[in-house]
Amino acid sequence: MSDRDPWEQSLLRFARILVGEEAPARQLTLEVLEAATTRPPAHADAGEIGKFLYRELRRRALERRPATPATPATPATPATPVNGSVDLAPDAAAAVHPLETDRIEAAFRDLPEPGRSALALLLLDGLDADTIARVLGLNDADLAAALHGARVALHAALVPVAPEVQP
Amino acid sequence: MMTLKTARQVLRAYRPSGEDDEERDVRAALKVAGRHPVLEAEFQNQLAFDRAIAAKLEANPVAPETAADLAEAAQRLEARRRRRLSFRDPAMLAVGLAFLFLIGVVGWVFVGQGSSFAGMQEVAEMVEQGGRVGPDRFTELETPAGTLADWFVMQNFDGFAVPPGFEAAPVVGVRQFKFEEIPVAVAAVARPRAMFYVFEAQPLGLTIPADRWRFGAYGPKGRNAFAVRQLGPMAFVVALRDGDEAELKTYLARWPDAPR
Repeated sequence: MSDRDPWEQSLLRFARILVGEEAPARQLTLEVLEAATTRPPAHADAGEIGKFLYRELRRRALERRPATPATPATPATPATPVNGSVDLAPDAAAAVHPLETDRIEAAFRDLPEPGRSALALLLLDGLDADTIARVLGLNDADLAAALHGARVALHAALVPVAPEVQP
Repeated sequence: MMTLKTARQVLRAYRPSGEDDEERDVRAALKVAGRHPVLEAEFQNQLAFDRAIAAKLEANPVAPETAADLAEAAQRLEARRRRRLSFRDPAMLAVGLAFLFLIGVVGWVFVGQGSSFAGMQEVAEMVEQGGRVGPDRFTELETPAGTLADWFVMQNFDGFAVPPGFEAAPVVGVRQFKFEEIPVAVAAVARPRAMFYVFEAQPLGLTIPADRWRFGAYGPKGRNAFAVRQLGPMAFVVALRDGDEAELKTYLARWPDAPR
């Protein structure tokens, strides 16, 4: 879990990405913490509880929220193919700096699964690749592909409203 | 050596915080990127993008009341986990089992070795000392053991008593002596050859539950047995002159009214 925030706040940030609004995210996070307290996983070491919390939170969030598109969004800027994949546009970070947090959160929420969860766990919660793969039930290659696809799609969603980004 | 494809796969799951820098596969992937400018540029671009996104999202604060509620729920979870760990932790289990084993061993030794009770060693020494004297040191007195209290009172020994069932034991001689300054009354019984000893229990630290015998051994190689029981403040000892614990138990069983 991230050392930037108390871990329970990282869990809340993940819930925000999944369900959008603050109140339901808070409610969902508290529900999951309560579930882990009353019915903890069989091997109750800290690592297993952490994975349980993220898995359970994501499961409940996806049950309550309409499914996001299963296919990654097409990047707005044509990218250079590398080994059969689509690259993140050069200087992608420049598109992010001038944007408001709300705008980025909204774009993040519209990303397809499992890339949205994978990128949120990597960036917001600071989970390592092995843990994310276990939480999401992915192998290493699929996790890498999901992360890359989510980055490309997120950038594509942000570029149209980033005035200083040159085509 | 790591391939370009594997290096790209590893770096796409790289955490922008730098926490993965010491991982072996990440170090190998970074080396590959160092040799491939395209991958290096791609990775640096990804890193900048990830850091920018993370910084924006982390800027959205958690409301203080929400943070407090979450912290309370997290503390409850942690407290519950620690309670579970205290029973599930193999180290705690091992300590618990070792403790139970120790209790078992101590109990076994304690129960199995009667002479380890407080005062039993002193009783063994007293019986041995009392048994070393010859018949000439006894006053001849043929009478049932239950009648001796008055005789000993006349000899300035108060409290002589025998357990129920032993009143008819055929005494043939009596004497007194002191063991570690404790007055001891002795009655020699004819058939079979045994000695009754009566003395105050407290000075030797004896505490025996009512109606219970406690067994010990004395003499060469602990060959002879004795049994002690408590009658109020007094201790009563039966010591065979020549017989082990099994024979002593048989002897005690001969007294029809004697408690077992």
